[in-house]
Amino acid sequence: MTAFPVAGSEKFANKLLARDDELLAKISPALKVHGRNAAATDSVDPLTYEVVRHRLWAITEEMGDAVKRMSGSVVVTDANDFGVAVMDEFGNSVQVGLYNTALCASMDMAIKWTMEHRSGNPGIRAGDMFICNDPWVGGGIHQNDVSLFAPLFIEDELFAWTCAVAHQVDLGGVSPGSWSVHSEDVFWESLPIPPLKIVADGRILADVEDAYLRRSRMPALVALDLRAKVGANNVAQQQLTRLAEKYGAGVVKAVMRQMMDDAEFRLRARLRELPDGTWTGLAYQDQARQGDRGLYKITVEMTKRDDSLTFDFTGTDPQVDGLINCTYAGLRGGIVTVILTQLCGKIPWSTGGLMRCIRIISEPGTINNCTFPAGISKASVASGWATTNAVHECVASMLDAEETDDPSFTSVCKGSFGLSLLAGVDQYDRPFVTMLSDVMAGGFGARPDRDGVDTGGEVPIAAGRIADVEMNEFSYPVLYLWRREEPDTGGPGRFRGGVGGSSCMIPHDTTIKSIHLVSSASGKAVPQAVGISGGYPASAAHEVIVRGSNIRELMASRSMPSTLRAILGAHEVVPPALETDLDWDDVYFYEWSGGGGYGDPLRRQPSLVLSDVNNGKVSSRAANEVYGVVLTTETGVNDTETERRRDTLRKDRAGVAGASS
Amino acid sequence: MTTNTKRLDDNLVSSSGSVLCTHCGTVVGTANEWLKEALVRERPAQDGGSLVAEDPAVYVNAPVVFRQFFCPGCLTALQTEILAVADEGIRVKRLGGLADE
Amino acid sequence: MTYIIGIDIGGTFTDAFAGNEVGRAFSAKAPSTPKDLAEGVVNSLRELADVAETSLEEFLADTSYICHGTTSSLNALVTGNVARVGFLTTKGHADSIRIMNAEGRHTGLSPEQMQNMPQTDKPPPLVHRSLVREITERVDHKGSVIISIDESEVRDAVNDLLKLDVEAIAVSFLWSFRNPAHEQVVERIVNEVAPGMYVGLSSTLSPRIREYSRNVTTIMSTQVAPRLRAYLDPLSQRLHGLGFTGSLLVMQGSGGAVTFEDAPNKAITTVGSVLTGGIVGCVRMGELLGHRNIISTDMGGTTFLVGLVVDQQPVIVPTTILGQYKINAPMVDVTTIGSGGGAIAWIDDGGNLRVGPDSAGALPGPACYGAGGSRPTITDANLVLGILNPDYFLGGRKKLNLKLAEDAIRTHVGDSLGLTVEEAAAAIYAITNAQTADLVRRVVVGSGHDPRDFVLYAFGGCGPVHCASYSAEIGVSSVLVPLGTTASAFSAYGLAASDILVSAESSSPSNFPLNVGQVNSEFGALEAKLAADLARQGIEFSETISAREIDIKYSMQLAEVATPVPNGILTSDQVIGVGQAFDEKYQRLFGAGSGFREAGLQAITYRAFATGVLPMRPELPLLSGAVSGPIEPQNYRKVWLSAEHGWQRTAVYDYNQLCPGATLRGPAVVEAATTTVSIPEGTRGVIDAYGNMLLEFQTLE
Repeated sequence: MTAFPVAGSEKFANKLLARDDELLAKISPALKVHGRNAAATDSVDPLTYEVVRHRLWAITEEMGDAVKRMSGSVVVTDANDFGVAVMDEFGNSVQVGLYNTALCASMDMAIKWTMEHRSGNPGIRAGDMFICNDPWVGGGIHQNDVSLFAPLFIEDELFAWTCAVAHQVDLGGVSPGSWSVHSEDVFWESLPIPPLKIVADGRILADVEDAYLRRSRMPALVALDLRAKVGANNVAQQQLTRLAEKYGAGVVKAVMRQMMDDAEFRLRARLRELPDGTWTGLAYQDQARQGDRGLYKITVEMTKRDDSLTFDFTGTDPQVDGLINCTYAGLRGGIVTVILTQLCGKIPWSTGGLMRCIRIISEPGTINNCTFPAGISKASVASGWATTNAVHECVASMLDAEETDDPSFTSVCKGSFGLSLLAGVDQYDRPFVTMLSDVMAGGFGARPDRDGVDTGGEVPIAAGRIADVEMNEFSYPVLYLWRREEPDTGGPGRFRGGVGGSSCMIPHDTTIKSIHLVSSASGKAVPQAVGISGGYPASAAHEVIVRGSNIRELMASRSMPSTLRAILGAHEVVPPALETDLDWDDVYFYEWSGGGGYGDPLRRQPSLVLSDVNNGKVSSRAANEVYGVVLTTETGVNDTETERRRDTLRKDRAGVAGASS
Repeated sequence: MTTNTKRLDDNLVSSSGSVLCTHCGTVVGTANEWLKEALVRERPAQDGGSLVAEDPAVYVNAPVVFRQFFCPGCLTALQTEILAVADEGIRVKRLGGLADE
Repeated sequence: MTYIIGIDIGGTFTDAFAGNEVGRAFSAKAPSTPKDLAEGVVNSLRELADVAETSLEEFLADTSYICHGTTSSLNALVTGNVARVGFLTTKGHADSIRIMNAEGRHTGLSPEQMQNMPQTDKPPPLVHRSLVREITERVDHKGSVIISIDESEVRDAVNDLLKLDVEAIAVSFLWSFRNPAHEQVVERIVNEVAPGMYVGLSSTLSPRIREYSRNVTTIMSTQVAPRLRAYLDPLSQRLHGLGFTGSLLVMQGSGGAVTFEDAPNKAITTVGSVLTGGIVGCVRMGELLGHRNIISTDMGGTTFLVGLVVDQQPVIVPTTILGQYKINAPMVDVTTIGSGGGAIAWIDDGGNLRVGPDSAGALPGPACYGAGGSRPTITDANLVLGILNPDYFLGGRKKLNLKLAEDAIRTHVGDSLGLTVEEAAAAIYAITNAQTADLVRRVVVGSGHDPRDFVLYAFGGCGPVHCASYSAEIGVSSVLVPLGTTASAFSAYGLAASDILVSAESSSPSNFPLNVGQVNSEFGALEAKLAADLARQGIEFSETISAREIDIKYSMQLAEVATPVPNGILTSDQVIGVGQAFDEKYQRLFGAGSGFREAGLQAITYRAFATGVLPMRPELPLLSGAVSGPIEPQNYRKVWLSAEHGWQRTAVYDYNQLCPGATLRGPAVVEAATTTVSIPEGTRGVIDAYGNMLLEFQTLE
């Protein structure tokens, strides 16, 4: 059944961010805002600025430490899939922590919405904290991202906001983990919670907490993470209060504003160094839900004029029945991730200032700006991720046009995030649900001066990591046949995209002799890490289940296969969305992509190709057929043959009989 | 090649409203359509050089191709993409400084 | 009475400290000699003998122990001058050392480096692919053999590697800590094929779950062991040739030493060798002064190190970061938080004043050194502010050039900000102190402690200049600047005051409730190993102290917490008590309500320590003299010590003129031969019986 619009849901459709003065006009007079009356301290001396700036940075670090130490979610503690931020009195982000950059990108949206809709009733007071996992409002990209934000009052005025947001393991919906491959609209999924006062007078409200936890299959764990976020906000509030006492609220506020202004100033200065122009990005997702055969595109045209960027998503496909849509918050998160990682390597992450340089044009009802009640449970790694890819393509192309001896950007990194959720009975006879993290070792895009990082991680998460094979085998009933880097998964180019990898495993030591699998990985029909400057796209994601295999006989005869081909059985290609069971004799293989290439691979230095072959980054077949490098038996490069081979390949691939070279 | 050129990417420069190949100086397009004069070649998605394990038709109905643009002079690959046939007009690059506005 | 000597090799100087049991103590230093570190060691001993007014030979003949903090292993790894190692691992898993759990791209980077993502890279693989061989074998999580090892395949692989001229072989198979049989097969075969070749087994060197860190630890150990032996053996012979008949000990990162003969077997633990002396020094000094909880801060010319002592024990963590790797070796938890006195002040693209993390290092060093450095450093600011005396820096051994410092600050900071040289220097000084406070606080709070429960020790040449200012902000109760006989060689003093420490561990992951018999047998096996290990040191100990711990975690949470376990045969109640102790420690570290108990507990790794207490320990001499009447400053000069008070006429004292009990009120500056102590207004400094200066804040409630 096609989803139809829900009357009244417009209230939550938050996309146009009010300017501070507009917002001020909309909020209840009951809420006194520190705001503009701090004009007395418009500028601070360099010493005070730097001291207070560093302290604000240290506060976000301390918040991050607090979340990590208290959280019960491996995705938080291990993979750093969470965010923290300190914001001004209007919710503009002053300092974003070095964690998941996409998560904090829409905190301002959620806070502005809260100020508008909650300042009168039930009111915003000292000691309050609001919970939110409604991506239409903001504060996260799919329902699993639960944010908790707290107003900080100095005397009786709203001085600032602090927030912590983290991925929660399960908040209900038809499938464990809350992203169902069967979802057609949001009613199949965890129902979003718009900003809700869950802490008042510094205490968690028991009735509200119960209403929140009741939806989860793992309520105790979710309750623990709620406390982790309360703890992080408390840490920040104590430290900010101390800071304001020591230097004066006006001075701290002036520093906050100056930090955002400084970030804006520096991004604008950086943009002015770059050529004006328009660049286009294109990204896809294949299959909106299990059984679907659609291919959905996000297109963006980025125009850079002087010191600002406009992203125009016109032409993006309409929203679809399935779990892959994202709201405006996801679209914005996709942009912020690229701005921070590609343009702000040395510019402070005060997104409140940075976002002033950016204009967004997008039509509601599209796949990355969907309206209620479209399904969004996979949004963060579906349309949100694809938005990042498309924007990354534009920004990298723009940076590529700069005349510089010191270029610094990457081609598009690992194109898609494959969910592999395993559930069943573990080796200790307990039920288990887990998300494999292996896919988070994606290849990074090639750079204009060197190759991309092999199995380098995740772009939105500055410090992600994956679990050891042994920890997975200790915790879950699986046995890995291998986990490795995969040759040719990096996009070919003059500089090669970093390679991705693959894991291959079988059920092991489980009494029910079967494991339930929810798989959802796009980028299978069309590779999603595109190349730059003629560089080739990276590999397509690939997943195979070998049904009824001979793996157990092989192992019994002391053989450990190292290729899928060496395993006999029915090789079943896994579509981009599938919920199934792995039976005792089944083998599960999944391969994730590398990063896009840079430049023409026929212009790659042959010695680098030789080293790639020796290091298993490129197959000898691809060395010959894609890079045109002829290697001798002594594993050296035959220069003459290579010249000849490249000449032939140039004509072959262009389909011309003879052209000058 | 004239000295008054502006870099566009690893392979292209612009000069007086034209886009030229950096390597051989051949004109490949204009500021509004960088690759206007470039050679185009399409091949099956699995055959282009990126690692694509399965025919896209296994997963989706839309026809998908591997498409490359080449400098007509030296056959350097200028743009390489895998995309839906229906979307072939989407990727364009335009130089703001030279665009007609 | 015989001496114990501690020798600490630093980047610039090799420090030596000697003490005996009746309160004679000396220290001396000689330039470090990076090309042949032993040269600097012997030179520092010669200097020490000079101070003791005796010959080197007589002095060494009268010495029982020399405890050495060596940079040998660390240098080998940092410079890549390591043995050529072949690596054997389980089929399908050779890429573990290249994937690096994806964390290898960012581990060990500063936040500034991490933020600049396009410029992050992994280091090259520890072992090149051509020297890695996968072996068909498999053991599962219970230690059961799934695929047994094929000896002929191993033999082929080893022969293959030998042809490629490997000097040593490292072996790390999946789950080897549960069942080491397959690794032992490899060892046997290598011994047959290439007798005498060093073989490092992960089941021996690092029997801990998580194959990535185990692989790294095993490989690095195997890489540095031959180099460490090649350094220590000749050093020992040289010392014996000079008349030394005692034991040469080598400090480990864990806070205790082992004999030089045994050190290569524990090569990886010596990587933290040079970080440890200062922490042990804090522990020993804390014992004398009654300080149980200490923040150890060591601010030198190029680094700023922070460590913690809690309940008179150094805080030790089971995992250490080295470069971009995580290694399994219990080490004192020392964090590098800054770049020392050489940290450079600069203006960023936004026109804001920043300090560090780039450092002028030892060379060219601060502008005022006149060695070619043109960029302003913290030390230059301190000179401009009058805190440092250009004619009496390091006791007059180095002349500082005020004009060069002023020029650097004016050109690179003052002019851009529209500040005078003095204003710019004051900003650099204040920013340094505030940021140091932020970072030290984060280390303390991040370890689950309250700074108010600590005394901060500040040593290293640059530390005492700043410590009073940043400590007040952190909120510690007081600050100790070790002076007196340990002044110039505090880390060397710590080395001389060390004991022998051996440790053993083994992962045996299991869910609670634990099997009491299993727990007892795990510790029984570890302690039998340690007893043999101690016996092998060939030293008579006055006593042996045992300690045990288990790394425990909540099954749904990541953080493993090393939880103390009672000694002896455990009862089931005691084993239950270990779970409770974990709960309590977890709450203390991470906050009340932070543990997800419902998910249950898991024991991961068992670890045992044995300390062999040396029969003698150096006693610090009590200083003679006492205060009689008011103390006269040497002179007064204009000094800037705080933003609040600005430039003040400040009393300058010569440390050599001060006696125990001397009490100085800020603003004051004390010039010692090794450092300069700032005492801002509102702070009081008192000289104690050992010659240390204790700083207290008068404003403290």
